[in-house]
Amino acid sequence: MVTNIVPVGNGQTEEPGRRYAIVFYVLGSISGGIVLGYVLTSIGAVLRRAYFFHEYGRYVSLLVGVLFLLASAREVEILKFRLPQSRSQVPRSWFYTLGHYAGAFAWGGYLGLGFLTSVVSISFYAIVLWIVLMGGREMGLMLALAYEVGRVMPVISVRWMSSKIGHDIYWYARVIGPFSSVVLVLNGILLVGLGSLLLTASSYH
Amino acid sequence: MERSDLQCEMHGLLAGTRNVHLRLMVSAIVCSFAAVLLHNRAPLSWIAVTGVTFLAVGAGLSTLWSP
Repeated sequence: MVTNIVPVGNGQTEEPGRRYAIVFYVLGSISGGIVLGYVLTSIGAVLRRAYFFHEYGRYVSLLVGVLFLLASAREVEILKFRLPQSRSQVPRSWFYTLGHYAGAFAWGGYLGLGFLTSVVSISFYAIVLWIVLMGGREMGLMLALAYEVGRVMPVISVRWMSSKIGHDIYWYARVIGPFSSVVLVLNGILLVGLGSLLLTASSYH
Repeated sequence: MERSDLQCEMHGLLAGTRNVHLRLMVSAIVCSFAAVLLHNRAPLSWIAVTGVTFLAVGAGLSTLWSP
């Protein structure tokens, strides 16, 4: 999808009239992140008022730690299991019906929610778990926005590099292609680090 | 750099990830030691918050390669 997201986030073409589509794509992604963070922290607030949390709240970091270790094994393909996910795609027709600016905003917002499209990395669910079970409102919003930063950063970088260095955005999209395994391994290392940190820290309480 | 050259380089880099079990183990040991050493000395939660923030960025980055 890297060959779709990068060009579409950049307005699909280099025509001057579509040059600022990236701004609307980023704004849409941030909006999606705020909605995602708000919904997840609201679910977390409801859960924390439940009986289970009053009784077993001290075991939450232990549970999250174990799940993070399992997630790390899935991330680097030591364990293999399917992730629950919607495999829907953002309709390209939005660009024709809404126009390129509103279309880019809607595209960014839809992708920014995360769970409406394919989920490649189990790290997304790890973040969801953390926001719901461990984070407060501010932390949840911060993590959701960090997720959006990860989404939009390559798109912005490609736009910047194509204007400063040269090559069209499709060239950069192809170059980014082979790096997926590197990102997944780094995610796996972070997951195992966080999991072990939580397990060790929870043993003190 | 031509695309084929880049792919060759990536294959070499990814071949190194066969040692991924070792890297995971080292990361787990280091983080466990950090948790033990920093307990009651530094706010442990800030280490976790920094880690999970980077993980969130990584989760966002990985969506670039969704099918």
